Amino acid sequence: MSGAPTAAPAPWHMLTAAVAESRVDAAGYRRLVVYAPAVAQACGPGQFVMLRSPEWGMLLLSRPFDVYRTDPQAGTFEILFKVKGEGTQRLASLRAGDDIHVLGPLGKPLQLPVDGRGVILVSRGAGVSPMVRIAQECAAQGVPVRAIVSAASRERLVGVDDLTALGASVQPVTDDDPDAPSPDRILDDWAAGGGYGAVYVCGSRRLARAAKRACQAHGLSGYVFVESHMACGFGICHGCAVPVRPAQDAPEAGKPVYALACVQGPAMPIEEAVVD
Amino acid sequence: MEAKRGQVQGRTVPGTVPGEAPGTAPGMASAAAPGEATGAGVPVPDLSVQIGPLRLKAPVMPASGCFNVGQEVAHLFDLSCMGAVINKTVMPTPRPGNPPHRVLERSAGLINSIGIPGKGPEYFLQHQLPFMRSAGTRVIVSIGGLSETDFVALIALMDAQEGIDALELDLSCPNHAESVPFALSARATGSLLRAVRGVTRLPLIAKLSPNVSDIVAVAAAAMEAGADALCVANTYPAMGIDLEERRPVLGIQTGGLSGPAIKPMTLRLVWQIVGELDAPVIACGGVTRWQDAVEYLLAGARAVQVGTANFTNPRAIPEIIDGVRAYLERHGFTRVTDIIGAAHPRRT
Repeated sequence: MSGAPTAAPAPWHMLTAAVAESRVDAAGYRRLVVYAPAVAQACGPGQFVMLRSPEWGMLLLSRPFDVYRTDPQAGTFEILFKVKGEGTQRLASLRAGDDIHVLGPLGKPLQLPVDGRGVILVSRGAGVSPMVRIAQECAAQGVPVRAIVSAASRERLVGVDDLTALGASVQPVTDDDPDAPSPDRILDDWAAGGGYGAVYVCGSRRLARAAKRACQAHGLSGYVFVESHMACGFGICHGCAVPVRPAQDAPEAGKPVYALACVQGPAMPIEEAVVD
Repeated sequence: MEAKRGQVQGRTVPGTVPGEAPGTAPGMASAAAPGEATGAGVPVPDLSVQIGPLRLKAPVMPASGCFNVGQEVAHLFDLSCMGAVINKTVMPTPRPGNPPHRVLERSAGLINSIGIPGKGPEYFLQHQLPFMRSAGTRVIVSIGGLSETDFVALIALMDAQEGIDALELDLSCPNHAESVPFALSARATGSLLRAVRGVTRLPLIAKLSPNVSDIVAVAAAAMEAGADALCVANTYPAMGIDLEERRPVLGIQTGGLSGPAIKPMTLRLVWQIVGELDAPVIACGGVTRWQDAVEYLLAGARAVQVGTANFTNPRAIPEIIDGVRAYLERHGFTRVTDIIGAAHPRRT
């Protein structure tokens, strides 16, 4: 299916890499650039990495991050995050030259539409991370991109400049703007206008529901990035279960069915993911 | 193997361990197997160990449920270095597993309530057992069930397969709500082992629960009823509460604690069993580094299983094997069996 996650990603790497850059951007997000050529060159759109600092204290598990963008020539990948707990705090304290433990790239890479139609990217907050990586791929393949980037306020908007620089037509939407058009309306207009084959959404269940409605109404493929507590990132712990809807005629119909976000996602078909 | 079982008649007291030569530590293999090179003149120590009737090339293997069957990490290291490969427990029927959240991190530990999701025995036989057989090491198949009937049926099924070296009976998973784990009771454990012992000649490893007041009683019941070895132990009942949501984090509220946090507790369980019974013990609890493995071996475990550590460090098993080998070399031991049980008081 056009725009779908592919079945068999290449084997991932386990390595100790060096931090190339660590900074806080204007919106208050921490950006970490990691020098890991093998990971940067293998990392497809929609994939993620598990990261851990050598100084991890009594923490145990690595932390999952969607890859924001890659620079295969420079051998680097970049992630974007907000400091929320001890893990992100320790990662934020890393400086250029410090070691960082990396597993990746993990998850199913996305395959973009190959029929010339464009893609619509919908994200809120740090959910813009996988969207920038998808936009990179679209730019390389000549796939047109429109993006809705949502945030609580204008100051918290992140990724707009990077998406624009990649050729995307970006519509920022902020909660503090009384004149902002509703994401539902924008999505419906774009999807109805034709020319778009797939919608990708990350960072908001409300936006995921809006994307699902637009996909159903106008016959687009939709993919939502799912989130779950994750221990390993590569399918052996079975921790990152997310509920999914089996097809009506599947033998599992009527029973709970779970997918693993790490190996069956993180981008899942929007008709399978539970977004309400 | 038959004689070994017959040796266990319940508790013994230090100094009167049947079959132990004077001056040897409990649980210690007294000699290399016939034909086994012990490395005279060769600097590489012999890592092989005997677990009841089962000979392993190395004293380190994955813990069931924390490795699938190794396909995900086979590109990172040669699986044949392991003492054995073990699958995530096969249950009698396909299971979806528990609702999220299924995992939760706490200080030096992981709390899980996975619920043994799986695609059932047919899938296992078709898609996982062939891979295990190709791993180049011993194949231990972990099976579980909610009743004696379940276990009898699964054991009969596995007994009919080629290339299985032993069965590990999961008597202790805390995370399926349908039944109380057998290993919470010596009586239930003994009863189950008696019911299944006649079904197969494969070595049976009973995986015990740490959540008991008298682990030695359960261990003795398992051995008396026909177990060939013990896996000690499983996760410890635990939970976490979300301060913002003000409710339990895990989907089924409680789970089992694993990881470095539990190693000192499981170490004591191994110590107690080895001190009182002549039973081969495989230790399972918090092994993260080679030092943990050596500690368990010194306490009398014949081998260790590595579980939670695989999640963060998928190369943990080969690194631990290398670390144990280097420890033996550094201290001039030629065989890993030289240190098994060495921390126990000498029995003369």
